Amino acid sequence: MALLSFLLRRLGLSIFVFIGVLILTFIVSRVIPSNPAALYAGARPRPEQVAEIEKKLGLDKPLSEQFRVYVDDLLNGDLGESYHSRRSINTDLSIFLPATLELVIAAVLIALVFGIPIGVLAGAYPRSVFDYATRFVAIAGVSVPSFWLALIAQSIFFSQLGWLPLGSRISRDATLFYPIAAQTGFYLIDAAISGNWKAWLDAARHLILPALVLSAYPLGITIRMTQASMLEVLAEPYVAAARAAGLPRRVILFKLALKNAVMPALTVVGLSFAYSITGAFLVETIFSWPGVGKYVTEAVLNVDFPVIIAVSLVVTLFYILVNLLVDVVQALLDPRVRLV
Amino acid sequence: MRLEVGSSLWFLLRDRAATISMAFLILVALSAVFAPLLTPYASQGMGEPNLTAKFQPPGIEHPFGADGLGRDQAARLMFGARRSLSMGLLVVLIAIAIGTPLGMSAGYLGGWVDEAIMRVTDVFLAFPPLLLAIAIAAALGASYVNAVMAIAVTWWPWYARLARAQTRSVRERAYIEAARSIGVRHRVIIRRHILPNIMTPIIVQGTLDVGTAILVAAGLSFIGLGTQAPYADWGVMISDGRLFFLSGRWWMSTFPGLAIFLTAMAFNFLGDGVRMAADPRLRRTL
Repeated sequence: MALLSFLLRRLGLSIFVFIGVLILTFIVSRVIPSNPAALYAGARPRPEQVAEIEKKLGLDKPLSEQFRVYVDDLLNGDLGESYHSRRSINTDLSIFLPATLELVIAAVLIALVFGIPIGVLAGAYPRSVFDYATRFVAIAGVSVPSFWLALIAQSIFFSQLGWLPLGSRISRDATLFYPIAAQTGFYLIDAAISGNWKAWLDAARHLILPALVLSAYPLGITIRMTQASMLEVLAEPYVAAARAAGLPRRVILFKLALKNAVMPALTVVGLSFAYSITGAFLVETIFSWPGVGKYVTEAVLNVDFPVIIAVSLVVTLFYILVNLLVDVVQALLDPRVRLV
Repeated sequence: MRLEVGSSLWFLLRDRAATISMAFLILVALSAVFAPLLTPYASQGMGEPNLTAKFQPPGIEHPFGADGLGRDQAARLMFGARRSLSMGLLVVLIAIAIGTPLGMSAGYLGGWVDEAIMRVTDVFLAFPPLLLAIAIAAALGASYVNAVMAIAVTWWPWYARLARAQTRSVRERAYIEAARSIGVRHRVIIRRHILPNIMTPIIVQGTLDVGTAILVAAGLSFIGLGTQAPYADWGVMISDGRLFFLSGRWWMSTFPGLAIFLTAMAFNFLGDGVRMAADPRLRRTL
């Protein structure tokens, strides 16, 4: 019962938050800019052009009416049209979103697979050389500008060593000679489904560098949070009791503490996702990765509002869902969470 | 958790990483403040081209090289520090100034005020960081001031939450009840009894956040939403040099990137140190 009411409450909160997100993005796109119609019209429009566009976009109507139309369109799944290219944003996003998600998921996986064990060990052996080295790595990870790290990585692994490609999702040879049959838009999945291993390898080689660069920040966060939660657990009375009872250190660390320490570290999944997305906005441009980050930075240069807002909405929706999922998994695993 | 200045400062100075970081940050701040006195190329630092030195690699004349307009990169770095550092500091100060009073009100008053303020923070925190800042900065128009405002507007909810949590634990203390019972007004209680008692964790968080704020500001500048030409901050400098990076002119992006990296690291180490110094429980060995 407690579980069900927790889930309902959590779901309700997510819906509420999304409504808030709709209102906030509406304010940012329609209320703050001095004249959206002038932006749409392009450079030096005549006043009557602006008036005409205002009518076309419904900007002459009262804000409450505009908001109704805005929400209506979104609920119908219509994200609008780019001011710049006049293309449908839905079509654009269906191509760019999977590219970004593939990159972000790879980065999150790297961060978790390396970050959690490192954090646990650093927490288990405080004040050791390993602890200090880890602290340094974790802080470096959250301090390095991702777009700069991307340049350095390209120069080392492409220019100097020649091990990995410079950028983009796949090589031209692969698209010409063994193209991937698009299904999910995730190249690694699509190539694997169709057994196209040559293309899979090619896509994987293109993914490595941007994913590693993106994982720097979430890796730092994961290490720090896992370590902190490990330290906290080790200070609990039951650990002291186990120690007093003479249980070997190995058992205390890996049987008692680890299980309880990894639980809070789950929240790290949501955070990692958020920071990888953030990094992707800056890093995709450098790796010519055809994702939403590159899409949105180009939209920024063209002052292409509908694109910026649509991307904000869709990515935020994903983020809300990831956090919801994390909370649900946590509630399923840990009864204490449900009571909060 | 109130800062006992004497013993905490002593503890902080014993933390070698924090001490080195502090020294480094003071150095960077001084070079930003006194930039016009420290470089013979002050006008280039503010954007004036000097085409005779175009793309000059690092050497005696220009220790960090010169960019595509021949501007001395050392001077650009020092003048860029003015903007990058001030962006980071301003973002955090504005976020604290908005978030702390709201968080204190929510935590002290409770009820529907609490509910309303916290639900608003939920909405702001639902956006991945940077994304909302990009949207707001684009809506306001690309400039240094607007970038600072945009980031601060997305950052205050963290401080509101922190201030609220701290306030709720302080609110139950006996001296607050005593103050209430002799008829001290809420406003005075919040300002005189609660605020001083919740400032330490906020200062700790603020120190840690300046580094991240510098990173985010550099990101906005990198995509063209921050500092505008002819001025530069470190993010703009990386962006300016990026197209030449792989063709051998590595110095234009390398040095500003290092500047951001080291400065952000220094703020993180310093923040860690301040946190441990302020909280005696973290000092003990496990």
